[in-house]
Amino acid sequence: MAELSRLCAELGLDRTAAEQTLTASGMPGRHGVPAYVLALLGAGAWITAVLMVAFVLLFLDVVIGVNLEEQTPITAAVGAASFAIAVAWRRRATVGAFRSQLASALSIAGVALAVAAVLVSTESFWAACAVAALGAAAAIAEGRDRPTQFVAGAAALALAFMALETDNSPFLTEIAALCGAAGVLLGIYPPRLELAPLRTVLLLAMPLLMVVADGGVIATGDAAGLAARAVNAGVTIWLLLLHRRFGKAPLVAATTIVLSAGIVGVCALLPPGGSAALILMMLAFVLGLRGLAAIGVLFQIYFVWRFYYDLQISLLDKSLVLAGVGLMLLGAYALVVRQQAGAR
Amino acid sequence: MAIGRSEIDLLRRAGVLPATGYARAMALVRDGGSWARWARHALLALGVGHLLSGIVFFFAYNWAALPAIAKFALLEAGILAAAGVALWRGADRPEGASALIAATLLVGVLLAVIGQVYPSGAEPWQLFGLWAALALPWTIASRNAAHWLVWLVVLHIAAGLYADQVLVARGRLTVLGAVTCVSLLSLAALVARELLVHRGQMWAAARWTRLVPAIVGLGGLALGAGLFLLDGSGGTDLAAPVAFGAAAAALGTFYREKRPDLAVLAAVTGFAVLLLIAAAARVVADRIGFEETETALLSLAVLVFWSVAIVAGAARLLERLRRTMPADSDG
Repeated sequence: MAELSRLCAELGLDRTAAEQTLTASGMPGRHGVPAYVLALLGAGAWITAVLMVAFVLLFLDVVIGVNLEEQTPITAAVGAASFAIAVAWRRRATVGAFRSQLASALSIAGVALAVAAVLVSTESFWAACAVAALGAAAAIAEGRDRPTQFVAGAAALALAFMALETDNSPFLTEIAALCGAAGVLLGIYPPRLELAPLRTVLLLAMPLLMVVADGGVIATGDAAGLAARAVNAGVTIWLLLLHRRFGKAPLVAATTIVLSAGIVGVCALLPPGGSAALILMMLAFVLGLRGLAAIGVLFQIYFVWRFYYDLQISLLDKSLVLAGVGLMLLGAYALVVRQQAGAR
Repeated sequence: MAIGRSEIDLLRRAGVLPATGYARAMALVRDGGSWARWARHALLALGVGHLLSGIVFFFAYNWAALPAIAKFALLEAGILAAAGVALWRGADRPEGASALIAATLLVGVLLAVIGQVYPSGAEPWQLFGLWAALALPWTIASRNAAHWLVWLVVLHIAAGLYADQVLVARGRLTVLGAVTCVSLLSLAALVARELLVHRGQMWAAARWTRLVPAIVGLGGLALGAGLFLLDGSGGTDLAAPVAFGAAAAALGTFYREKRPDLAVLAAVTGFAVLLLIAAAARVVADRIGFEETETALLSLAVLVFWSVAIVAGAARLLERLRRTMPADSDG
């Protein structure tokens, strides 16, 4: 926490406008809904949407006689109509909890129906991805429903990666790294539009892809994800420099050089997913996001474990490598503690 | 006016704060000291984790050329060295606490090597049980929450294996009963944590020490209750749903009235929502059915409206709690 007056003075903000904004929001000091509550409501909307999709498909088939495989335009239109009804509900001045939850489920189900209809009729991941991206864009433009933006964004990205995989694209890992970089940019320079769900999707794209598709080890292409590792190392070092600048620490200093070398080393050694997890941890550190830090740590534990698991050497050699790295890390810890004690 | 991250977001969305100043504003409200500690502890944990993994891999290699006495001597020397570091640095400091955790883990490796050298046919739960018993004095002495977490993991594995290999295998307990018992162990750890903090043992006061056992315990009970609800065989093992109901009511009341904590209440609400949806699915399957298309349509419609109503109710409840509970209760 910090005082508003200090923030306005340091950043040159209009203090009156800031106070008015915070006061107008109703509860000074208690504006944000915690992330875990949002996740709970999002999960609830997602479960309802799955039931709703099953209901609508069955209803279309039994009552109206519309089959998903044969009459896809009608199914897609029903999906679009569901989304439109949800948007119309949310635009009303007072939206109760029941209607709000129903609208969330309806818009998610709408996107899912339209995507499924296009995927079945065209058998093209790209076409389905375009529909999901349209849904995500509509949710962003509407700006009232985070679960829909998250699900539609995640669907669009997942379908894009499936399309790239089907096309045997050699740049899957690099594209995922660029998604992560875009997520970091949205985290550091967020636009006024509510894009937090899309940012989360972009940030999680690469580590999730590496877990699901590659087991975190084999990068697509001949270069073993070299460009992706370079992008990730660059982004992490940029975040480090940003952090040092905010702390008014000198940018060109031994600490910066050592830490940057460490980042390059980690990105070069670990599978690309490991460097993506490092970005999550660094972004969480710079912005102070505990939830993101926990996710980054869990991913990092997985990728470090995968690295040693897949290392093609005997258990004895592995034990020596692990113990050696452990001693180096403990040495680094001792140096950090000593340096900080000296600084105090 | 004190502001935090959510206020920064609000100022950004209102256009009062430019995009170029957002990260700097977040850095201003961030608790720098606690994040520096987090980074240091992460480095220490990574180092100790690597070193211990190296030791585990070394003994997993089962080097035939190394005599058994040398294996025991190496491990016991490691345990002594770890205990020595803890004495030297002090168990209340991160380095000392890490050394004691390492000693605890090395006891497990030593027991495994003893089993490797002298195969006795003992069941795995006995190894974990003995490990938990031998490591308990160090865990008590360490007064460190992370050490207790490691010890509780060992204890849970021992309890789970005992329930599975002895009680369930001999027909003394059903699988649902076993899940319920192990989950209650986590909730017992939560009760112990609250008692310790109440008595001024602030080393146990970190928020995660409340959240982890609460979520694991409730999650296990919810899993058992969910399996009971979705099992159409008409099982009569009511222990899991009854235990979940009792635990949810107790935790809900305690963390609403005595120690306001929105995260625990959100966990209770979330698991309750899942179970209420599962219960509705069971009732709908029994009373209406999914076999015929018309009845399936009706069943799905009922489930859609029920799930919307339940989640909307949960949303209203959590929003009301958030507005009425103290500002520091939402983490």
